[in-house]
Amino acid sequence: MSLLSDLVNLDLSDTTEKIIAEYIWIGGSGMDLRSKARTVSGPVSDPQKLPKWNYDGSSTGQAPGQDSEVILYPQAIFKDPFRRGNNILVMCDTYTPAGDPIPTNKRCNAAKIFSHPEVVAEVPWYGIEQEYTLLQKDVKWPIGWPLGGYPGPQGPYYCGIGADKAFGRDIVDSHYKACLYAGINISGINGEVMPGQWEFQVGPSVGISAGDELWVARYILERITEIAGVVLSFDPKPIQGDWNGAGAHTNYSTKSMRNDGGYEVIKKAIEKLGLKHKEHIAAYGEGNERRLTGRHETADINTFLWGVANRGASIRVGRDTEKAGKGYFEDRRPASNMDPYVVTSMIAETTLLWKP
Amino acid sequence: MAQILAPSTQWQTRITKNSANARPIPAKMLGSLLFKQNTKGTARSTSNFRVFAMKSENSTINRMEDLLNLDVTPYTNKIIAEYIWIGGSGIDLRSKSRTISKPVEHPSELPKWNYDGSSTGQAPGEDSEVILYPQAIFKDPFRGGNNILVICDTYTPAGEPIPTNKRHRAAEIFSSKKVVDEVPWFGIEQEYTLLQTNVKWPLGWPVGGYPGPQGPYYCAAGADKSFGRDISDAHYKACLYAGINISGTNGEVMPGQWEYQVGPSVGIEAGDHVWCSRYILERITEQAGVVLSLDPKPIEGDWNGAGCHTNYSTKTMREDGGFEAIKKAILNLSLRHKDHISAYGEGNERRLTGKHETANINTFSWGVANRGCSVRVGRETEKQGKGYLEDRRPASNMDPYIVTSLLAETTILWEPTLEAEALAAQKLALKV
Repeated sequence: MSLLSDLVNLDLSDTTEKIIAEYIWIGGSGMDLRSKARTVSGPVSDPQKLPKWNYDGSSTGQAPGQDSEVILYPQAIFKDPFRRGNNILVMCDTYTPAGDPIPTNKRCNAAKIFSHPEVVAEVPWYGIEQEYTLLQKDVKWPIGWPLGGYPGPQGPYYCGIGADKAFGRDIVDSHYKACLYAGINISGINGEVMPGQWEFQVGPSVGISAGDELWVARYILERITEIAGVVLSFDPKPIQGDWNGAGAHTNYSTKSMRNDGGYEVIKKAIEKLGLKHKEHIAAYGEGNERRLTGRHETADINTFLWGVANRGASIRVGRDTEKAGKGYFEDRRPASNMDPYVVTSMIAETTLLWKP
Repeated sequence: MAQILAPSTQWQTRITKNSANARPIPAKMLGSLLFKQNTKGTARSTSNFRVFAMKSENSTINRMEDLLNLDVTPYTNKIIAEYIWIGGSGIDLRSKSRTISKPVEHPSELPKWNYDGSSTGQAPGEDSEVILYPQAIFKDPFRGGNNILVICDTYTPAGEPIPTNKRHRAAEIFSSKKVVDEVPWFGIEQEYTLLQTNVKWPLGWPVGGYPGPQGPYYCAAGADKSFGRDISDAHYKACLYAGINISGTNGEVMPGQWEYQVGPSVGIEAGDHVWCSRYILERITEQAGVVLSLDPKPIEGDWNGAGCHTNYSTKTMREDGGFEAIKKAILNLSLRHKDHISAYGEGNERRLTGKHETANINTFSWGVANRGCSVRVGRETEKQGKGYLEDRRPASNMDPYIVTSLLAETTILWEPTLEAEALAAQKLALKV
């Protein structure tokens, strides 16, 4: 057993220049992450210098068997916290051999929106609050919950400590350090209102990197829960009843919103979002209707409502922002299983490019 | 019992930039420190120390420990700051963390933050933001490196302390000139009970039954007398690492009950250090799979309760002739007995019965070396004519901000009427 441990943790930098690159992509469901590794001849810091690769799309529901190759284009590099040394994680997106993005590739369109000159000029920042639930492996019941029963009602668990209130902290803490090591812009963590549920925040990130960073953070999280023998769930309403759901609140600001007088720009942006409520909701994650009920700190899915410091609203503006007359706002509608490429680019498109 | 030593400058330790040598208590070491009980053949205890979610069944090695103990200082300047605050019940601790761009030395360098007060019973849903003001920094024994724990207090967005914020008023009292001049020292003896997780029955007690009566357990060793020493020991080192002024530990009279002492600390720091030590203790019990209880009378019947005796002295008391100042202080305390008792912890009436080394809750009494009194003065203090007093009334779930500031207020700032004073002096046989 110790030999296996020594081998996994071998630091190769003394023996060879070669590094291991783990290519990561999003599979056919739009939510499942896949990865495989290859050797690269020397350390690389620019994704453009990495070779394109391919995989068997028929095994992930992304291509038919007779024409199964899907091409991987490397887009972002992070340090590998599992292999360390000079080894890397590579976030990729997916194309046909002819060079067209396959239907599940949402990054391509997002990148187009984020390279539009009007969007580039406004330097859009995103801070994404990813909530998730940890489940016991064989029974798919949240960790810390008694089998066949329920824990005491919500109240003591939010940011709580103690063996009867916080379940799975080691996963959360190792994830925090692993992301900092990898170079992901992780800004904080906290225990959530439902026991066994946690949250981490990534940001502020500019434009397309918000999506890249969040997807790699999700990858690292699922690799860690794999080690811990626990199941990761991004379901927006894992347990029915008087239990909170899981969201991915997206904080957003542009240059004009951050400058003096930005509050007016914020209010205009919120108005535009209100006019496109249905389109956004449709893109904000599967199963969100089970979560956005109007209770448990959400706004009802059919209503668009905004307010200062109001956690029961669709969009919340912080007191700081109201007081300073500039800042950012929080879109509380996205579910925990949203695609950050879709959500970030859609918010930018609606607020900056769309003219009603 | 706390001995008053000169306050060490330990509490002044700040985080230095080159603490790459500083190692946290590795999860592995904590794991090996953890008490693994063999239940084969004995029906003694079913407590099972498990570190939750660290078990991995199909992989043959566990790589999560490496990640938990990862020292990120070679890769980034960023540090993790765990902001800690007191929740809506006044005794529940909450925390969440954020990344800070580089190591800090002083709380004023840290940004204010906010949290969802509607989830802790401290704000309504439509106006939920509660603001956190950083007040004291300690090194983080769980994350190591340059990472920190930050004790905060809580305010409305308008800048008013919210009702559960007791630190604010205490800080005001401790900055008033008369109190500052008297340099008040506090030594707080925090007792606590460890409970098995699923049954809420004390650690080491047979489920559905009781251990042998009190007698053998106080400061004892042995598998049949001492339950949970690893938690107490891990906590001791973790607090020393963090920079908390922890001065000692001991096993208590009731089996499964322990005590540690924090002090001597000056003024507001007593509260900050005790709250941070409680946070570290509950994080450790969380890892050990054991429940921490600060209830003042966890088990009814012929079992000790849990208190938080507060040792106290002022400059005048510590100087020659200080015994007179101590007697005057006791006199003042006797006249405000009801006010103090109501602020000394919920449920204290179940503990202060007059038995089990307590004084009855309705009576104020004092004595030298007398553990059945409200206030006890040590033999050393009586002999030397100077020293300190021990207020034995506070319960284990007291708020140290309230208790320390109330002691300072009653003995330094408050003055009784002359008639009341004379009457009390007679009653207590004090010639002041």
